[in-house]
This record gives sequence, C-alpha cells and structure tokens, in this order.
Amino acid sequence: MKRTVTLLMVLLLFGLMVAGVFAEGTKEKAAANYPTKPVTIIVASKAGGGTDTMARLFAKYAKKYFPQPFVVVNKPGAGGQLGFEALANAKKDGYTIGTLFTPHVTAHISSGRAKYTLDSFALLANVVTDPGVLVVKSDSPFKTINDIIAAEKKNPGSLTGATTGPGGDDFFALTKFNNAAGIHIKEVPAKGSSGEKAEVLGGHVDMAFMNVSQVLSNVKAGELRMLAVMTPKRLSYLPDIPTFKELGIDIVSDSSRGFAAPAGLPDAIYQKLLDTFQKTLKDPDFLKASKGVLLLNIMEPKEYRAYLEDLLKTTNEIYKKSPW
Amino acid sequence: MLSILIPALQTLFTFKVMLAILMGTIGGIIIGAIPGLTATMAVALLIPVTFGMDPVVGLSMMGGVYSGGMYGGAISSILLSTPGTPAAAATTFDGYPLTRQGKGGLAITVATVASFWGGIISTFALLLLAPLLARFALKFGPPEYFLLAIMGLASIVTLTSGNLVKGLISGLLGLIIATIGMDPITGYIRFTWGITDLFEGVSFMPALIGLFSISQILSLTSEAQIVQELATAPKSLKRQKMPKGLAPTIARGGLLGTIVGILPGAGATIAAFISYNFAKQISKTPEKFGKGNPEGVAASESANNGVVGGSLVPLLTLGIPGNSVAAALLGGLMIQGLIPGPELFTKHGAITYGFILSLFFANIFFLILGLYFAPLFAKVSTVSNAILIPAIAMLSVIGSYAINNSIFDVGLMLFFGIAGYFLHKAGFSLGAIVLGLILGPIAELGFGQSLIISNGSPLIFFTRPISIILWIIIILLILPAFSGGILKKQRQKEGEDESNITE
Amino acid sequence: MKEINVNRIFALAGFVLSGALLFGTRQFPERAVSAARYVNFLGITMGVLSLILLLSSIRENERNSERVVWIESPLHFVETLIGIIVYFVLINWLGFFVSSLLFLIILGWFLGYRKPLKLIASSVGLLLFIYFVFVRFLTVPVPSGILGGIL
Repeated sequence: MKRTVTLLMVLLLFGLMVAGVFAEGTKEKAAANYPTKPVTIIVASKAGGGTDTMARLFAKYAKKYFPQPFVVVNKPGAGGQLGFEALANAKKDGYTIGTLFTPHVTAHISSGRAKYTLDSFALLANVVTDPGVLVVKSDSPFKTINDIIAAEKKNPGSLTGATTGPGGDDFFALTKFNNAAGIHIKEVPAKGSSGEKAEVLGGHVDMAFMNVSQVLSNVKAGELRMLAVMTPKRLSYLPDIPTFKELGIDIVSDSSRGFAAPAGLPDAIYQKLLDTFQKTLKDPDFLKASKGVLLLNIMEPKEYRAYLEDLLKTTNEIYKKSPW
Repeated sequence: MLSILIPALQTLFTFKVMLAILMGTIGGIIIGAIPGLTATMAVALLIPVTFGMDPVVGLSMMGGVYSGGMYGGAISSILLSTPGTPAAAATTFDGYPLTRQGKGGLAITVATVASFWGGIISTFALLLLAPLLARFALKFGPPEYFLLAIMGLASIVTLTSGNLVKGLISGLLGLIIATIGMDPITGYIRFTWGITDLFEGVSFMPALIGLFSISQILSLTSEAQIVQELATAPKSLKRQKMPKGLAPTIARGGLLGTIVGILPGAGATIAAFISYNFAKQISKTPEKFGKGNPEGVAASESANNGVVGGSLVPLLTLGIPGNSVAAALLGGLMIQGLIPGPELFTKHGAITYGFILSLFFANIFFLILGLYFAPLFAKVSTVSNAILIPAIAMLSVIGSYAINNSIFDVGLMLFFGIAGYFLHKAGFSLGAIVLGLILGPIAELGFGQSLIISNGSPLIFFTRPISIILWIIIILLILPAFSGGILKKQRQKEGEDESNITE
Repeated sequence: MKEINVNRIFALAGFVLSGALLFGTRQFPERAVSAARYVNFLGITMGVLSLILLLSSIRENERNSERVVWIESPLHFVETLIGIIVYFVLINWLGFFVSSLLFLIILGWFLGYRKPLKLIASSVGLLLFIYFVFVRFLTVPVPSGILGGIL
C-alpha cells in the first residue's frame, strides 16, 4: 500500500516536471510565434462611446501592421472599474489588452475600491486627451472666469455648475476651481455629458465643467461660450481661449484614453504590441479617420506612466478633502 | 427647403442606398427581437466600417438598424413575453395575452402598423420642426424630469389590475432596488456589499429579462403550448386584418413618443409606458387592457417608434444624444466629419436630409416585412412548450450576458426571474417593479438636482410653467384610476375574476 | 395557501425590508445625507404600505380569500428550475455552445418532447443562428468557460 502511494507520488512529480518543461517550452515558442489568434481589446465602457470608437478605429487600421485581428469586447460598469480589473487580471499572454481612461483609472485607486494598481498595467500608448473646459451659455453675463469669481464672492453659494458626478474629471475640475479661487460653486451632477449640455443650454445651471470635444460644435454654432481651458498651455486648435493657469488659477484637468496590456507579459510579445501601436497611431489613414472624432494626443509608455502617476497624486489629494 | 429635399431624395434612389437601408432594417429587426442585443451595439460596430463610405449609405444603414431594432423588440414581447428591447416591455401587457388567445398574428400586425405610423409621425416632426422642438426640449430642467418620472410612476395605479396596495408596493420595490449602487448626487455607494458589479446599480436589462421572461417560462411549465386553445390557433396563421378604431390611439402614441423622445434622458421605455397609461385612461373600456386588447399594443408600439425620430432632434440640432443609440449615431456622424448644429441642415443639407428621409424608407421596409411575415412569426407560439421553454431560457441567458459581457448579470437575471415568479403568483405586479426600476434613478437625480439648484426649497417643483402643466397631467392620470379602483373592487365582489398582467 | 395569508407574510417581509433600509441608512457617512434621506423616504413608505396590506388582510374574511397555487405542475417546474441553474453553472465550465446544446436537448426531453431527431435538429439550428448573429455578425463574445474557447 505504502509503495503504491510512493510510486504514485513519484509519478505525479515526474508528470508535473514534464508538464512544467513542456509549458516552459510552449511559452517561448508562443512568444516567437505570437500572434497565432485574434487579440481581444477589453473596452471598459459601453459600445458607441468615445473609448469604444477609439478602440474600434484602432482595430480597423492595425490590420496593416498586425497579422491577426483585434476584437473589441465591451466590459462596462462601475465607472470603468470592472473593465480595468478584467484587464489587470487577464492572462499575460498578449492575447488580451484593454483600454484605460482617466481620471477614473486612478480615481478608483484613490478611493480604495480598485483591485488593481498602476503597476498592474503594461502601458502601450495614450491616444486621446480631451482637455477640460469651463463653458457658459452664450447669453450668460459671465465673459471671463473672473466675472464668475466676483459674482460668487459677492453672493456666496448663488452659482451652480454641472458636472458628470462624483469621481469624474468634471467633478475634480469644479472642486479644484472652488479650492483655488476660494469660492463655493454648487455642484449639480448630471447624467453624462449630454445631461450637462442640456442643463447648461437650457439655462438650468450657470455653467458646466465639460470636455472640449463635447462642446466644440455648440461653441461653433454660437450656443455656448468657452471661458477657459484646463491645460498647461493654450490649445493649438483653440488659440483664443485662455488657460486657467494664465488667469492665475492653477487647474489642469482632462480626460485621457489609452491602451495597456496586463503587466507581466513576455517582453517579446510586449514589444510586438508596442510596435503595432506606434505604427498604427502614425498611420495616415488612421489619422484621417480619427480627425473630428478623436482629439489625438499620443503619449509613449514612459510619458503615459508619468502622466498617470501625477494624476494619482491629484486624485489622492482630492479624495482626502472631498471623498465620493 | 424643397431645394434641399429634392437632391436629398435623389441621393437615396440608388441601389446601394436602398440595399443599405433594407439590410440595416432587417439586421435591426433581428437584433431587436433578440433580448440583450441592442441597436447601439450594431451602430457602434458600423462606425469604423462606414468611414470612407458614402455618408448617406452609412447613415441610412444606421437609421435602418435603429428603426428596425425598435420595431423588432415587439415580436418577442408579443410571442414569448420576452421583451427584445426594454422599450417593448409595455407591449407584453396586451400582446402576450393576445398570443395566448391564438391571436399572435393579429398582435404582430397591430404592432407593425402602429410602429410604422409612430415612426412616420416622428420623422415628419424631425423633418419639419427640429429646431423648434429642440428649443422646447431644453426647457425641461431637473424639476421637470422629476415630475416626468412621477408621471411614469402614476402608471402603476393604472397597471395594477388587482390589489392597489400590492401594485404600489411592487413599484416601491422597484424604486428600492434602484437605489442599489452609486448615489447620483454624492457618489456614495449604497447596499452593494462590496460587489463591484453592483456599483453602477442593478443592470436594468438582465432584471427585465428575468422578471418577464424567466418568470413566464416557469409559469408555462404546466402547459403544453403558449396558445391556450389550439382550436383557435390556426386563425393566427392566416393573415389578419387590422382591427378598426385604432387610429386615434396610434396618432396619440406617435406624438407622445416624439415628445418624450426629444427629451434627452427620458427614452423609449418611458414613452411606451406613459402612452399605454394614457390609452387605458382615455378608453371607455379600461378593464379590457391587460387581457389582450390590441389598443394596448398599438399605444405602446406607436410610442416607442415615435421616440426614434424624436431622439434625433436634439442630436442633430444640438449634439445632445437622448439615448445610447443616438449617442452611437453621434459617432457615426462625426466620423463622416458631420458635426451637429445648424450647418448640418444647410452646408451638409443633402446628407442630413438624405439621412432623415431614409428613415421613411426604413419604416416602409419593416412595415412590408412585418405584415408579410406576421403569420410566420406567429407560428412560434404553436411550437411545443417542451421546445420553447429551453429555447427561451437559452436566449435569456445569452441576452443578459451580451449586454455587459458579464456572467454576474446572468446570475442576476435568474435571481430576478425566480423571485419574479413567486411575486407574480402572490399577486404583485412585475410591470410596476420594472417601472420603479427605470424611473427610480431619473426621479432621484431630478429631485436631488432640483434641490441643489433651489438651495433646498421644494417650491421649485411648483413654480415653473411646465412643472405646473405636468402636475395637472399627473393629477388627471391618477384621479380616474382611484375611482376606477373602487368600481373594480365592486366588480370583484360580484365574482368577476381578475387576471393579471402577464396572464 | 389563502391569499390573505400570503398578504400577511408579504406585509411582514415589507416591514423587515423597511426596517433594514432605515437601519442601513444609519451606516451612511455624513456626506451622503441626501442619499440617506431618499432611502429613508422609501423605507418609511414601504412600512406604511405594508401596514395597510396587513390591516386589510386582517379585516378580510379568510373564507372569501382565493387560494394561491404556487406551482401548478411541480415535476416540470422543478425540472426546468434545476435545469436552468445547472445550465448556468455548466456555462462557466464548458462554455456557451456546448452547455446550451446539452441544455436544449436534455430539458426538451425531460419536458416531454419525444422526437429525438427533431429535437436535435431544432437545437442545432437555433445555436447556429445564435452563432451567426452574435459571433459572426456582431462579434459579441459568448461565455467561453474554463475549458476555454471550444465553440
């Protein structure tokens, strides 16, 4: 009886070793042959949104540079957290990559709810940056942000500003504005950017904290007025709009979208993916298609990483003061 | 205007465009009929594909998907009590009883015609009045959305056919379930026990599929066929004429759908419920509703297809998508370099009007297809339950999975299905629970926003002109229901049996 | 079970739910005051409605109350219920298509369908349809299960 058990144990051990070697062998082989099947892109939001369009456009034009198709899988929920977690926990074989969007990706870490850290991701590229902007209705008496600050100081608590709700970039922008200028604009959380737009256009709130791409058409049509953008420098495509910074209030806020793989995938595979991204994001057809849909701001992994770490500090600070 | 319309119409009359509309419409009907697959998904998929295509081809295909998808939801609602889209939930109330009586073909015919007219009415509104309607939509602020939600909740009173208190409890239960997840105002996460999948609340579609479809197949296990008397079944297979006298209901539904559709954030589901409620209130024979009245089907279907044209009003004029399909369509416009606003109707008039006019064709296509295939679709209800029950269960599982690619949602769907079965047996109204689930978040957000704006004063709900009109409508809706409820109780005592929504 | 007894049980359940909500909001932090207020409102309303339901069921005569039949055909009901739950568990292991095929055929048989060829043909046909619409046409993924990727 004892002998049988020992024999079985030895056999089992041997089997495991063989399997281990075999697995090791296939791993290397897998990296060399990669890719042999389609690569899934986990999109952490619903079909039809901005992040989804970015991923689908990338998938369409990556075909030229990658032998296998990229397949978009939407995994929305919990402000992107479900999708980010699915990406962080995905198999590290290069067949699953995903999207990140800010500030949610760091906001979830700050709130302590995320089951991932920034180290869970091997960043590939940031693609889109949609800067924050403060808009008012075109018939509003406010022409500059100083008008707003003056009005609010005269009559504290009289002004309202629409945001997309706690934990989003618009909420952060409003909070920063209030803190920096020493005022108290009341936050009116709306349902998504379309809700914000409807409220500010309808005159139900005094201003809205939004993103540039969401309001460009309305500004062009003369329905909304941009007061200031939340970028370090003026935007090349909006040279007339001042930044908050030059008006003496240091606010930088945006919503960025990019791609990452789960950390810990074999380096050879990571390089292949990185190469595909760098080529696709420079592809003239991709650039043509994304014109008007995506506000491109390509960041290489290093720069992207620095951007996210910086953002994490900011969201940590805000969470301490006004948690959500 | 004619100078733009004629060239726009010309762009449509090419083989390519017509084929695109037809394919879009057929694809839309299939997607709409399968629970969990949405027109939004199909449009999102088409966005990158249509880049480089003639814009009219791409956009008219998306328009076809949207129109067809909204209509297609009715088919599974009527035949299987499984709403293919949430907007078709109210269609089950009378559509499914009709199927049970062997009149599934009739119900589909009514739904097809009602959807068609709803679509046509709203497309005309879009074509002729878009800028005017958009300005009206903007007048709706947080207090009005709150009242709109209350108006929807008032339908509970009408929906309930048995015990009114139980109907109210059902609606309240829906509202309570809707509080799970992130509070819209402060962002505090309520009642989720740390389950990330619940942070954004209970997903609506899985809950709806569970409540309507799984609870229904559990009831069906005691029967051999959906159609109760097979003798009358062959009738459903023959072509059926439209019942007379539905025109006013359809016209009202189409208009109501258009109006609700142009309000961003309200949506087709609410439009259908409110329209159903209206039809029942106005009717001289409200007791027939819920037991297979074609009028109920007509009211709900004309309203949800009315939303299609309505939702494009704020999208095209202001760049405000009223629902998720419209949001995806916005992507479809932008990739063609078409930016919402006045220019869309002038500089890009040929494309924009081409797109709007293509909706007429999409409606005509599904009208022809629907009327022609109604008898064939209706055959589904004569299939043995031993085949149908597993098939519906399978569709429910894959449908609730596909909406968010989430196994958790499948579990949620099953939970709602089993709980829904027993609640239904105990005399609670599943329709009211669904209403509470949809309207809870809208009511809470509107209420919270209003009080922030008014510094906590509830007067804001009574001082604005549109609010006052809404209050009057709400009161008019509730009053007859209460007196009707008393009448109903008397009838009940006289021994008339009461049947519930899904029976 | 008579309907009034059902009503009594559900009224009690309503009280429990109402109490749970009111208790739950006491754990909310200071900043979530508005969230708590709304939930409290719902909780109190639930309590009041449950009370009305309870009182009216006490007032009513038991003999006039209708019988509630929970399950009309216990065998098929239980088969279907267990079938769906096993199916749900199985999907996590075998993936969608394999478990669906098994589910459709086995439950169909248990529910009394006795034409094996037709049963298999209709199940395969339905799944092919799903395959084309979901996987081919819309590229919507279906659950693949731990055994992975077997379509």
